[in-house]
Amino acid sequence: MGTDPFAPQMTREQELDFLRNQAEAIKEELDQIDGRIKELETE
Amino acid sequence: MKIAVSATAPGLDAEVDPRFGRCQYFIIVDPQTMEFEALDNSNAMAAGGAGISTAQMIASKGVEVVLTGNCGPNAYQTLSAAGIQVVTGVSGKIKDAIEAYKAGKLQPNAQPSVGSHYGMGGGTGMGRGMGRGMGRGMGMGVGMGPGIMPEALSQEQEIAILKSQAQMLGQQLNEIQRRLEEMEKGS
Repeated sequence: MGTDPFAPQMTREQELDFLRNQAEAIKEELDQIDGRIKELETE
Repeated sequence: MKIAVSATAPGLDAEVDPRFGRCQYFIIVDPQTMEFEALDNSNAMAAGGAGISTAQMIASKGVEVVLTGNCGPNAYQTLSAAGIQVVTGVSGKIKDAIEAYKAGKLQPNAQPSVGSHYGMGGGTGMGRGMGRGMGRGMGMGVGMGPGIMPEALSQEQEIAILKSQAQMLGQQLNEIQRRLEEMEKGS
């Protein structure tokens, strides 16, 4: 594989921000899915 | 009965595309009459979640069997949850693949044939630059959730798919949180 000279570079802070945003987005998604499952199960 | 085949071009003479989630087209064929419908796979260039989105699209078409080259765990789980049989290792022309299936030469898989993110172009660059947690997070943030659930699914199928998605998202969330903890400890 080797080093990819075209790989995007991110600082540690940028990566942390990105991961936190991703975690938040996934939690929201999970809430929506849970809500929809409950909705379907009570229909 | 409908069979969906991943294809490199929109016709029965096209070759089977070895990728499921990111194939260019799907040919949906009635094996009795050989009448078919060609679908553009809008998820082929998706940044992430292509396997699940493609599987949902296929499920919404009332397909019972998928013939393809390879199928990753997310797509496989979604297809299975919708009651769709998956046959991998298929190659050659679409019409020959259908004939082989009709002749009983192709058998459904009991598990996915490849790992996550098979068939993603440029994966190396993205993974190296952003690190493990980032790569996975990006893969799941797009095109998912109850809002895009196809209408043709039964209530049971929809619940099964949603539960499977929730499980996968839960795993991704755990990985992201683990990576966050690692990074925060390292500061």
